[in-house]
Amino acid sequence: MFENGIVNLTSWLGNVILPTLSGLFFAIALIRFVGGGQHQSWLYGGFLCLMASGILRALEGFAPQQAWMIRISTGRL
Amino acid sequence: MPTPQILEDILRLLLQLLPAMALICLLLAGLALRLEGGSTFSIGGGFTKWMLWSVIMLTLPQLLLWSSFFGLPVPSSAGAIGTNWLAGIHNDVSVFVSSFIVARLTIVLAAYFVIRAVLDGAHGGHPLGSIVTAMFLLAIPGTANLISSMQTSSRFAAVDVLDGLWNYLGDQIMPAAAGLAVVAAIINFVTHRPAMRLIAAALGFLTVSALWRLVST
Repeated sequence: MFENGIVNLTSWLGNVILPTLSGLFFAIALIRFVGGGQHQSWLYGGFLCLMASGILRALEGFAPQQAWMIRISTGRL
Repeated sequence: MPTPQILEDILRLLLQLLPAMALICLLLAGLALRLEGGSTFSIGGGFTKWMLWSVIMLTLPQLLLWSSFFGLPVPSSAGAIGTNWLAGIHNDVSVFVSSFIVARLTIVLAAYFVIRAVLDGAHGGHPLGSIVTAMFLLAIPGTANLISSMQTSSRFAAVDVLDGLWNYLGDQIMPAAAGLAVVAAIINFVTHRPAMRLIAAALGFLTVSALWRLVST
């Protein structure tokens, strides 16, 4: 199913790639901090990578689940 | 005057080949999807055209009920094909489409699109379009089964399927797309590219049904 592919891609990015990138961003932030360069955005990026799931849950909080039950043919819940 | 056997068999042949033709339409829809961007599609473009044709192919027997509704009886197409050589054509075309085109050719095309995704990334482009197209091609049998499961036995089957596909898109695909948008927004933030539009897109993906309700009421 197409749905399985998209969901697996999203899970892989969120659960595997983003935590790895988080470590990379923290390392870059540390190196730039020691070197006196701009490091804040890398630090924030590292935290955001770990917070991706939470950000999505927060966005879902603005979208009530009952809205998904609408049928477009009837427009009713 | 009774309808000649050969004409009835030709009608049965054409109607019984419709599911195989729907699979070919889905394959062409996948190719058109990549031509139109991969992660989006053009209104009135090739993707929408071939998806509509695949739905029509799978629901044509129900669409023919409109003829009966209008008072024009349609000859019965149920049953086996009586003419041997026409039955042979049906068998050969069905086997060719399922075992050659769907089981092998679409897999190879999907693999080529994975290579294209890597090349897109190497050229500074976005690999998501080719990845989504590869997933669409690999899911062609599942998509055909999904469309078949959505159809009803009434003469409104075609619009019922389109209705079901919209709900499937809103229920299943859009939440996953919202997750992808959040991941892309984080990467854009780190690389100092515009990120807020992707957060807004994620919110839009999650609220597409609510947006529909807002528009329709």
